[in-house]
Amino acid sequence: MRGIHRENIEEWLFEYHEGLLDATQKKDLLHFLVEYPEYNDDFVLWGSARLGVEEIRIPEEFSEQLKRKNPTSRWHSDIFWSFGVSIGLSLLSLYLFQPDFSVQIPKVTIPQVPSTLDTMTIKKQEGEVKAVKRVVIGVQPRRQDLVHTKADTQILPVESQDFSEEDMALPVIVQPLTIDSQIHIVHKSGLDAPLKLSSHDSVKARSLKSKLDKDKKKAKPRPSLFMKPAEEFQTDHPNF
Amino acid sequence: MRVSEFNDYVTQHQQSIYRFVYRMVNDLDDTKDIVQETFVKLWEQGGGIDKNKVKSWLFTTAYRLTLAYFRKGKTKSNLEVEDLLKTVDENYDNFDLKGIINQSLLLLSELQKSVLMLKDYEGYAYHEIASILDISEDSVKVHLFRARKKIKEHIKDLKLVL
Repeated sequence: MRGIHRENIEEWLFEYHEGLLDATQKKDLLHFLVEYPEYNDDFVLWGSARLGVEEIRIPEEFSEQLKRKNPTSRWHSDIFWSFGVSIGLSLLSLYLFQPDFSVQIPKVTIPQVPSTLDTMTIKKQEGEVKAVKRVVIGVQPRRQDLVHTKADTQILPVESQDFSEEDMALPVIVQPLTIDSQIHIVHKSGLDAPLKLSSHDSVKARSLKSKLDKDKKKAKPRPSLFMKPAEEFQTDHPNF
Repeated sequence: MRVSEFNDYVTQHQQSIYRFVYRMVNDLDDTKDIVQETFVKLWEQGGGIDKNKVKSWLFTTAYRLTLAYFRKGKTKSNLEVEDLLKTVDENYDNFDLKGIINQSLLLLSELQKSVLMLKDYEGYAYHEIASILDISEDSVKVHLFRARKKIKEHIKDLKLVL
């Protein structure tokens, strides 16, 4: 144990007031001070060299500035978190139990075989259809039939009890028909809904040519808007 | 971190942090800036701080911001320090020992001041002060010894003058 002497008395006084000395060391220090009373003032001053209770107070308005305003009450906050967690769990369960969701959509579209318009079927009706294709666009509940026709072929929807009002409202016919024009038949009904234009019961093609011929025959010659001058005023008349 | 939780921390620790910073920089506006920034950083930390260590984290942040403040050169001029020390004399005339000691903080370095305030105002142990200021326990003891000795000498000198 280090002894107390004039060179290290400051350290002893410091440690005494810091509470770092044990009982024996304290006793030794007090014996030293009795023996050397000139250090008594230092003993007191070391004890005074500490900060007392501080009276500095934070300004009230600044104290309020430090705090944050609560946008929602705690009750609302709890509701918000509960709702968020429940939504998260729902999405997680959807993901876990239906991992092939994107694959299931084609399964719905594949059975729509009847939607392919058969050329023979159309011919069997009244018209002549060059080719027929079916195009399914993406996963949207929307499909498009592309029908190639000849110039005088017109495709008309057949009024049927199977049609709903919504289906009848669809723009099925494109006119006027030109040479090898393409008719886009757009089905706005959902994929799972029956395709109304899938068979000859729904669509018929008829020849427009015969209709036009009939119209020509029925047409009467249009009267001239100019009146014919009298014979004597005609340039080739001998009296003119 | 919830707003209510943050505001609780503000209520609990704002006084200590404010006092600590004010005694370091001795300027009201600068003190507010540093304290404000300290709590903003606490908010930005979110819930990443142990609840039991929030106070020491605040002191560490405030201390670092104060050092950055000093690095920017925002220190009191010698003239201002002399004016402040005159008030020490006035305090001594009025036997206001507490005022003398508080004003004599101006004689200490930033680290000595920090150690002294964390020990006397907040009652932190050596190892806690070492953790807050990121120094060793031995350094804490050395700086505390030097700080107290300077204060003691200052009081002794004033006493001899009188």
